[in-house]
Amino acid sequence: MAVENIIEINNIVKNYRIRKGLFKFENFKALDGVSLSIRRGEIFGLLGTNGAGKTTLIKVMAGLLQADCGTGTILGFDIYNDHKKIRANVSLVAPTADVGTDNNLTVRQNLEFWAVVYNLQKEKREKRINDVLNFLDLKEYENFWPISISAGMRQKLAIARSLLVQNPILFLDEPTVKLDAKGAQSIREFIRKINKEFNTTIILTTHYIFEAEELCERVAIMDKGKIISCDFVDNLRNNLQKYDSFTIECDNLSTEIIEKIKFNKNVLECTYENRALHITTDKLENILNFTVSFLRKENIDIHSMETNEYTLEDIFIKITTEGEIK
Amino acid sequence: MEKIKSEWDSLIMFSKREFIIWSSYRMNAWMWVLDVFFNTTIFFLLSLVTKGSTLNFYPYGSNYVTFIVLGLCVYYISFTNLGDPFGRVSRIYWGGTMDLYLLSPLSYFTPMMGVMFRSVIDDYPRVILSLLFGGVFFGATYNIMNIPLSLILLVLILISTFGIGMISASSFYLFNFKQNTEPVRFIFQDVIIALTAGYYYPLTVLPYPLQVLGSFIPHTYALDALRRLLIPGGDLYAKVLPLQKIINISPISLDIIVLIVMSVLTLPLGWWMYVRGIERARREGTLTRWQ
Repeated sequence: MAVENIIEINNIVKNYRIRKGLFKFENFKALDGVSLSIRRGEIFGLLGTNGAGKTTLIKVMAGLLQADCGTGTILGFDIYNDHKKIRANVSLVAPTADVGTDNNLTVRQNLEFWAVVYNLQKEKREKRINDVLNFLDLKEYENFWPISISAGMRQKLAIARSLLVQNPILFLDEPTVKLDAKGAQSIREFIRKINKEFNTTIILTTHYIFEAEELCERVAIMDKGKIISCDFVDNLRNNLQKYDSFTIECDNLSTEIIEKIKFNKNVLECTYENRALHITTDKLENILNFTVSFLRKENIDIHSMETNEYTLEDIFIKITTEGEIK
Repeated sequence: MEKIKSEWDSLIMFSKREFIIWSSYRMNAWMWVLDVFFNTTIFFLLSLVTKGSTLNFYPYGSNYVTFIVLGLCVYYISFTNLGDPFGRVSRIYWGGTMDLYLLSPLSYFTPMMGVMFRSVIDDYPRVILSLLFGGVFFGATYNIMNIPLSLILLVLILISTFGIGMISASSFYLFNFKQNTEPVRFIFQDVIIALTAGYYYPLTVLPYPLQVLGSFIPHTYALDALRRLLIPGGDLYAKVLPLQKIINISPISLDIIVLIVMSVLTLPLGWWMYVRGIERARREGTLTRWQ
């Protein structure tokens, strides 16, 4: 079955006009020829440093910002001519939960307000609000003021607001920023749950690489307004992993033994520090077998052994410092 | 029809929210009543000073308290309808919620009108309270027979000032005036209206150039008609305003026609400019402070 692209944008450029003096302006290129396809039902990550263009890209895709040039469709709607239809079919959660949350209204009153604004039918409002409150474990806080609940709960409230209408696309702009580890983990669980239960396509921006790694099937890495890499997390890792490495924890390795290991032409790097023998190689399996056999022959006790995979963080740092992975 | 109903439901919801917020500050209601009372008192005391003086209120009868109370009524309406839209758009912008409202099916105008309810709740009832306090405590008297026509005039001043308010609000996005003040409101509210609206004195006591300047604001015509109609002894036929001396129809009819023309001109213009402003902000990425 063909995979349906729910978002398809090509060569999007967006400049911001920045005032540099009384009559002097300069253009800041926030998006520089961005092309992207996002599939229905996936959780897609947008990674990048501050100012990379993530939020600008989200706003263009949500119909809140007009691109200067490029083409694109969101849910089949043209980004220039059908921006109202796009906006009516997407939801967005801003980086701070306080945006759109009124501290003078209770959690429930906030949702009641937005349910009317989103034109939810009167007879369905009550049930939908209850469903969303239950779904996000907010039911017991429904009569609390937002100011009296935790930041994590407030973020859930912001997500609850976006779930009042079941739009096919949900943009989450740094949903766990400012949250403690427990709150962030809880939000991540709900993001997965929303995606699974409602088949909502989720586009997530984050600074936290582990978060993208944990949640997203595919990620795009942005830098200076460009997408410098976009692929499945595993593919990004494989592309980067030209050389494998492994670490063996063992005691009392003599310099002589280390030199003998280094002598193998497929061992590219070999270090021994804090009881950890770290080897980089272009032939992982051969060298791993060779090293283990050799250490056993030399009567060295092996306490543990692990191969080292690149994390998304390694990939991100490598890409943003060295450029695009081909 | 369904669209109108949904916009209406949203407006009701906005007003409910604004009322909850307004009433959540318990002192508000008491301070509010006292504020109206003391405002009316000040002008009652002023009326004692002017009593028997040679000040010419013709053709608006001779009850200065009623004269002032009617001035206050128009002031309260103008304060909200003309002065508030810019401030409310500003509140939406700085609160970061414009994006969220645009992601809803609401028209561009509903959120702005919705958040204006805070001032509507605060200011519109002051009109009734002023009339009441004036009548009960300070000797204001009203020509009750002319109340129906006066209500039409109130609606017209409400629409025409809101039209100017919309033009003022549109400047937030259209001309990128994102600070506390902007030229449209400043020129109308703080200059022309402050000088020539005639809340506290008849326009006729001003130098002629200022009377001409006053001819360009709806307040002049609303106050002229309301005072003639509601103050006992008001003359319905004497022509005192510059435009009334040029166009040969009855002053009240002319006032109503001018207010209708101003409403028809300013409201659509204000709405058109507001839409252009939002579209400009969408192009430039300035819909919210959050980027």
